[in-house]
Order: sequence, then C-alpha cells, then structure tokens
Amino acid sequence: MSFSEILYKILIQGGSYWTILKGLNSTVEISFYSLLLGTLLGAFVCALRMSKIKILRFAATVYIVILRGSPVLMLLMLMYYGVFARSSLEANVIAIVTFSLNVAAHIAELLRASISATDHGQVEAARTLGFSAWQGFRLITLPQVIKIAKPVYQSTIVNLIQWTSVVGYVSITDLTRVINNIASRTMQPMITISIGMLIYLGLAYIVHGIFALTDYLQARKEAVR
Amino acid sequence: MKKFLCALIFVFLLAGASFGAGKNFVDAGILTYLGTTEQEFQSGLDDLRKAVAPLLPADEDKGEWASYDRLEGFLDSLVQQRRVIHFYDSLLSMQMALRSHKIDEIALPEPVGMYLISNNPKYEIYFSLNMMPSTISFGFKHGNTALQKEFNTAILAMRKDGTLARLQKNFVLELPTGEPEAVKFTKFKDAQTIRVAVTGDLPPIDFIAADGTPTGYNTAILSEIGKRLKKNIRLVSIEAGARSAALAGERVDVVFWYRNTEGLKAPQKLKGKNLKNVMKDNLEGVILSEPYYEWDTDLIIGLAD
Repeated sequence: MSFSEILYKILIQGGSYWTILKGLNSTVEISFYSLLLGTLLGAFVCALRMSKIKILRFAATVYIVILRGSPVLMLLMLMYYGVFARSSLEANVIAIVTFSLNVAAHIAELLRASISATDHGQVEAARTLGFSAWQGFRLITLPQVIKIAKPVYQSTIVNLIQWTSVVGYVSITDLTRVINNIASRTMQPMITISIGMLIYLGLAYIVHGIFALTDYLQARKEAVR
Repeated sequence: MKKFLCALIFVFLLAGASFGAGKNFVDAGILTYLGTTEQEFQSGLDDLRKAVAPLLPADEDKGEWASYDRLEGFLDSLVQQRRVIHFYDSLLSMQMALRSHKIDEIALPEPVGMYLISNNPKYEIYFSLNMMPSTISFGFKHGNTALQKEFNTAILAMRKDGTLARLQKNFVLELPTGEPEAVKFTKFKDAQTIRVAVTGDLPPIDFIAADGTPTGYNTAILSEIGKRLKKNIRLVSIEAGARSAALAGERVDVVFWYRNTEGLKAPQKLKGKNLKNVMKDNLEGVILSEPYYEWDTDLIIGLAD
C-alpha cells in the first residue's frame, strides 16, 4: 500500500475527515469553555489567596495545592464515575467543570505571581492622587498584570488543550479518541498519530497567532498614541 | 565539563548497547489482564515455564504428548526462551511499542491478528499458539444478575440457532481487510434502554467505522440481542482502560468485551497449574455473560523485518 493510499484511508475514506473535524470541534469546545470558566474561577481563587482573612487564604491554598498536584485524568474519572455518577449531566459538561477546576488552580497562581511582580508603590501613589482602590487596580495594576501573565497564560491554554486529550475515558469522542479509533481501524498507528500531533500543533500555533496578533494590535495602539 | 558529559553519554550508550546485545529473553506485549498485575502474570508464567521444562518430551518421544498437540508449540517456545511480559491497555499502544522495538512480539486473538497483518504489511505472524480455546464475554456490574441472565438466554439461543456462527462469519471471519457494513438497531417504543460500552480497540470484533459510529460484529450482535430482548441498545464509546470504571460508576450497564478466562485449565500433566490464576481478566466487581465469541488460536505477531 503506497503512502498516498494510506493517507487516503486515514483521512478521506468513509468520511473520515468529517469525524476528525467533529473530534476537533469537541476538543476546541471543551478547551474554550474550560478556559473561560477556569479564568473566572482562577481570578476568584487568586482574590481569596491574597485576601487578608486567614481562613480564606488557607482555603484557597488548599484548593490550589490539591488541584495542581493531582493528575487531571484521575480528577476527571473521579468526577464522571464518582461525584456526578448519578447525575444526568452530559459528559462534556462534567469535562468542562473538571478542566475549569484544574486550570483555575494554575491561573490563580499565575495571577498571584503576576500581581506580586507589580510595584505596589505605583498604586499607593495613584491613591494619593485621588484614585479609588478599584481605579488603582483597573488602571495601574491590571494592565501590568496582563502584560506579565500573558506568556504563561498562553502556555496554560496550550497545556489545557493537550490535557483534554484524556476525555475519551469518559465517553467523549474528542480529537485524540478519533485519532485512536482511526489508528485501530486502519492499523497504521505511527502515521495516524503523527497526523493527530500535527493537528494539535496547529491548534497551539493558532493560540500563539492570536496572542501575537493582540501584541501587534497593542503595539500599534501605543504607537498611535 | 563538556568532555566529561560526552564521555558519560558514551558510557551510557555503550552500556545500553551491550545490555541489549546480551538479551536472552523475548519482550512480549499482551493486552492488559485487568484482574492481575504484570508482576503476578510474569511470575505465573515463569512458574509454568519451570513446571513445563522437565515434562517436555524429547523429539523421539513426542508421540507420548499426542493429547497435548495443541500445547506443544507454546510449551516448546516458552521453554526455549523466557517471555518477559508487558501489559498494554490498548492495541494501539502495543503496536507503537512493537514498531519502536520496545517489545519483540505481541500476542493477539486470531481474528484481531489477521485484521492487523491484512491492513499493515509491516507485520507478520511469527507463530500460532493453538494453546487453548479462548473466549470473550459481556461484562456486567456485580449484582446485575437479571441483565446477565437475559443476555445469557439470548446468547445461548443465538448459539443454538446458528446466529452467532453466521454473524461471526459475516462480520469477522470473512472480513480480514474490508470494513464491515453498518447495522441498524430496532427501536422499541417505551422499552428499557441498555447502555453498552464499546471501545473500538479490538477490530474487527469491537470496531468503530470511519464516520465514528460503532459498526460490525459489536453492533451486529448487540442489535440481535436487542431484538430478542425487545429492548433498545445505546452504544457508548469509551477507552478500553475505562471499561471497569464505567461499569462501577453505572455509566453503562454492559461492557462489550472482557476476556473470559474462567474455563481455562492446564492439562493434567501440569497439575496445580491452573492458567486462570495467571490469565485473569475479570475483576471482583464484574460478572460475565456466556461467551459470545470463541477462538482456538492466538497469533504471535512481530515486525516483518
């Protein structure tokens, strides 16, 4: 069997490309919603982690330590086959909740580190000039936090996309599961998995491209000013 | 420092090469037996090897072993070279290990092995093991004896009226390379729906088609069972490694395949060596149906080069 015949069998025959697209859609959907929820939850956990109330700080620390220290597959299986076993929630929803919880712990620490890296004196100076606490945070701290956190946040998104490759264990047919099914059907694991890797790599570069675009737009905006 | 690191890497490479060169065993891959560990399996196999060695007849006395013809190839091979067993959760990872020379051979049920070599000429059959009849059964959560009984009744009836043989012929035996056709499920209004986990990891027995839908023997047999029980069947595609978790968490009612090793027994000459203690696939919390697929031969497959 020639290489082109193998490629045809893997990518085209029987509408295989459509199945791959559906799997890709599932991966992107889970990653996108998990990132959205995870970022919001991460910001909240970060606020708790930096709170002046000791018990809240402690609770946030425990959350971060547990979630960052446990493998996401174990957490996913525990949630799907244990915690939500009797619920009627769709597998996709449980996966999004799980990945949100996990990524939130990472984002909370990322935000905390970024906030710590900013100069608190600038906010104090702003306050003496009549800025409110919220204004000080929004106009002085937040832009710097975004700038500091951006490269690591980008890596976190790429990591999240890769972490979702375990959702086949909870009956979701994502990109990895589709690739595995095709590899089993065609008995061509090396080529099929290489194609799967290229698709994941493409996703990572799309994320990279989006961040590069935002950097470019920001630079242009500042140049116009 | 650089020179030291280069020297260190060279020493490691040399040590690795000499270790590999002196290898006097065969690294063999098999699909994970869920009811035992890799170490337990290895230890059982080593015990079996020790027990077999003194019993193996000399070439001129092979006649004495006439009743053990089916075992002969396996025993000879096992005694000649020790097998170091590696468990793999999926056929896919096992193939990858073989292709990357992490292991030397893999053992597969005959229909799966034939499908593999028919679809990829890079593999070839090293030898066949006509060791003992092997079977696959449906798995149910412990305590779900009502459903187990219903499935058993359907399977026994299908065996009796020749349906099982016909489905095996149409969807497995006469289908080494092609893709099986899709099977339609009959819908029963207001009837119970049975959720069945399929993995797609044991083609052509457990198979997922190009369009992502389970197709072939798994759907054919389940469609037939659904008709006989007058119940709806819903297929749930999961990873092979999550089969037992899916049953335990009651996400599915039935798992399409478990190797059924309850009936395995070594010949009388190997008293006390009950193979089912080694090849244990069924977990404590899982009960099995009557077998729905049986085969006599396992294929030992390796790279063609």
